[in-house]
Amino acid sequence: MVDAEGEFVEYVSARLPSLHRTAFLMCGDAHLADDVVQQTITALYVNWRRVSRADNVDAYVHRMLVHKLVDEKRLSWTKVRLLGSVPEPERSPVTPHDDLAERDSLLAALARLPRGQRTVLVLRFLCDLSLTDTAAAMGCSEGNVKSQTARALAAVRQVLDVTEMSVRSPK
Amino acid sequence: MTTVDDQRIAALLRSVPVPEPRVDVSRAVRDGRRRRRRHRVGGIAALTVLAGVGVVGAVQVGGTASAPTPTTPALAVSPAETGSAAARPPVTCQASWLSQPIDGPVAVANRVDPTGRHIVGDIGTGQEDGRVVLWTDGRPVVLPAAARHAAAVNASGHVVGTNGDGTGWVYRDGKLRFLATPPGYDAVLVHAVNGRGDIVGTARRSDDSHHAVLWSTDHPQRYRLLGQRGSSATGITEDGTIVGTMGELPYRWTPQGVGGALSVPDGYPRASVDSAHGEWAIGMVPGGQQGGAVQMLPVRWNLATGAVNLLPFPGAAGIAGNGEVLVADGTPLVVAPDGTSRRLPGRPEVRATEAGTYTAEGISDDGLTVVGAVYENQAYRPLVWRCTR
Repeated sequence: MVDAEGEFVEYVSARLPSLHRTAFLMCGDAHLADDVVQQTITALYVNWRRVSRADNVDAYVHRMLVHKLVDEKRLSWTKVRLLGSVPEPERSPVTPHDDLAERDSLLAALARLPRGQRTVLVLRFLCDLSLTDTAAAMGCSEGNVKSQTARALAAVRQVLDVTEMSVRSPK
Repeated sequence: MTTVDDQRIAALLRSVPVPEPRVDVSRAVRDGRRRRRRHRVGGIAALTVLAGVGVVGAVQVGGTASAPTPTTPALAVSPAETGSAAARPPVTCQASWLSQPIDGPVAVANRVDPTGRHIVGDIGTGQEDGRVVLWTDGRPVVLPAAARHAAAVNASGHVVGTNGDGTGWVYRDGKLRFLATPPGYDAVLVHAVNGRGDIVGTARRSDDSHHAVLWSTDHPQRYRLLGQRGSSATGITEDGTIVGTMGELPYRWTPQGVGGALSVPDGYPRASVDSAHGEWAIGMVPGGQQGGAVQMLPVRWNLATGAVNLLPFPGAAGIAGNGEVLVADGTPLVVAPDGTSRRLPGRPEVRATEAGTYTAEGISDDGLTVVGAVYENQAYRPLVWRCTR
């Protein structure tokens, strides 16, 4: 139905920036994030009439995104590139007392995390999904999400604390 | 030691700079319509179909306001709907079903050769088990199971495609052979074949470096790399002109192998080329941002003059050798270079009215044969439109 299609376009257009941010933070690769989001919204279109009736559409879409990301890692050759490449954001050198420094450290910390820990962090703190929804999105138990979250937080805290300490006592 | 609280992590995650998304919503809709055939079937809550119960006879297709669908039984013939008063011979078109040699709720026609004689498609359950079918003069042949995802068919009925693992293949005179993947590359993507048996596609590596490749149906294990690394080839015309991209620019190689950039419409940073037939090629440019999404706009090149024009449609599904563009928007629409158009008729027995009921994906060189499918009652059926002038 045309109405359903309009609804789809509206939903996707509104959520695109946040979906893309989620995908980028999960995988750390701008191309891959584009591909995964493109695939996710295509799949979303296919199932739109069903998904749009779900209680929590966002949680459902995040689940699709996580699954696509996993699929994509497996089938990396099928990546369809959309027109050229986007330069990854420059990692500016860490400068004291700068929010940017902290953000860079966070990106670096995320990059070093195992995929599961990274995913829980992004889903729980960026996407604000509940424990239950995160577990559902990742296809694992809530206990698993809890333990991965704890480990991810520990790793991130360490990195950010190190930044703070170096801010306080610059070399 | 300070600790980092959850709020702060959330705030950081929200403010970390990320690249601009390059995602195309209209493409998702287009691809999604095509892919519904793979998902819809057998899966989702079955709709109760009340065939013929209280349904009004007239069928409004695709939600488009124009083009009343003819209700003439048995023969679905529509007079050509001309967009201008230009003196063109009247065209009448008729939709007919293609036969299905094997069962499968997902049966579609994808491509047609320049003459309109040979049609290729897929029949399966939609669960990645589709078999390639070649219809010649309406008679179907099922290709070996090792051939998946046909990309093109030439006037001799030779079919080329790419399997899911990135292996290219050619089917010729009843035999299936595989194309060489150039050393150093993991996969190929085969796009087109012409009447001389030249096959073009792109070889790709997992780090995404890629290179345009030319094969021939005579010697599938031989290949030639085109241009430099970073090139891709997506179409080839009957005279051997190859189109594709070099880096971010649309590109063309003459039959003699001389490369040169195609023009990009004024005000656009880049363009990609999808396919070429006769003196024409179609492709896309990135249009305006829509809620963070880039709207891709279709363009058409005249390869003889080098002129490029934006097309006033949401997308272009194919280009005929005479320059007519196949627009899959609602019921398929064929638009000539002079702007005149004809909307293709539906089948009278098809009752579905939603957008995406009809899909059209291939057009012959004279623009008179179009192939596609109808999605209704959770199944796809392959369809061919034949027009006469």
